[in-house]
Amino acid sequence: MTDPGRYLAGRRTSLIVEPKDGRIPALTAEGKARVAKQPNRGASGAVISSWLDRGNQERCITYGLPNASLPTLYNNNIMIVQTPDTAVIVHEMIHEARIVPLDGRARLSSKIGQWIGSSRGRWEGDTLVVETTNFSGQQNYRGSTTGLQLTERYTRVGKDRLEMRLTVNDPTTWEKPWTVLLPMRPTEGELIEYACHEGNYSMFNLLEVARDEEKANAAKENKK
Amino acid sequence: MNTLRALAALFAAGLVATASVAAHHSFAAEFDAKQPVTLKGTVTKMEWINPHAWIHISVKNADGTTTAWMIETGTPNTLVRRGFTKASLQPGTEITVEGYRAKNGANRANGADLILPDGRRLFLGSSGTGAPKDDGQ
Repeated sequence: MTDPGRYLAGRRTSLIVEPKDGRIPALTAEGKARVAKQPNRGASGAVISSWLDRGNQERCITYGLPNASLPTLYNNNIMIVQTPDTAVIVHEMIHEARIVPLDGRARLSSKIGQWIGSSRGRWEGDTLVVETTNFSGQQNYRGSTTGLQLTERYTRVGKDRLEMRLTVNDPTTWEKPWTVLLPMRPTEGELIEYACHEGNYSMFNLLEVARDEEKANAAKENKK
Repeated sequence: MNTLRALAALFAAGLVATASVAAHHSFAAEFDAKQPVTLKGTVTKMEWINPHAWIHISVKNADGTTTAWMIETGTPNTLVRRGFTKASLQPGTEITVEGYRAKNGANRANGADLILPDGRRLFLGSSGTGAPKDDGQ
């Protein structure tokens, strides 16, 4: 699963291939202001008055995009199901299925926004190109907005190698677009069903911990 | 015919290093890296939940009573890759678990390592490791 030495060509040290320095471009002034207002849920002392204070992934709603397409600590598995006029990209995380029409139909109206946007796809030779827009903004990536545009290009470069080239563009958030080149390889077995909400002991636990901390702090105040 | 056009293909991303590391939930909000625990007990139930499986164990106290503990582990597919099978932790199996206790002192822990009766040690790696700056979010 984790083998950068064998699977990353050219000894690169970043998933990002554009810009060449391998870094996400600078935030615009507007992007900076937006990011500064976001809660840091991982910080000690973060407000946890209810589940509504927690992130969408912790609440088992969505990882959002492009988050779901980028590797994280675990479950970086996707399944691509294809028919002549549709591709479905299934992510193990949150068992999210992105349905990608390939029949050339028009985009959704710009008035319609969805959690993981709306995708349209096409073939360019042997490359499956998926373009995603129409984000609702309820889930953002590093301050991204409803104007986020994603282009994923999936190319099979060898028997056991698939490459995904993902370009992220949101002109009001970053000074320029950036591109990730992610190598993938086949894995054995089927996707394991994601049972996030049914088994979300963690949400109960962190709310209980937060309530107990409140009680302990109140008891200290009373003693003063 | 497009070479990519297999009916179904299952692919895994090839590395974990990325600009944004996101786990399903926060270690820091639930567990205390300053409260390491070592628990020796008997498995009462194993819940294979994706993304975090839970092992329920019964720990014998000095006075003969027992205490029920819940141990959080990593995802089913990582446990399988590390050698766990559905038969590995049948009820009654004696195990030792090293992990980090819930911040409020509840009998729950984030599992780090599991030691089987034959001495095999398996990494349970869950939402966090307790390492510095590991805020799990």
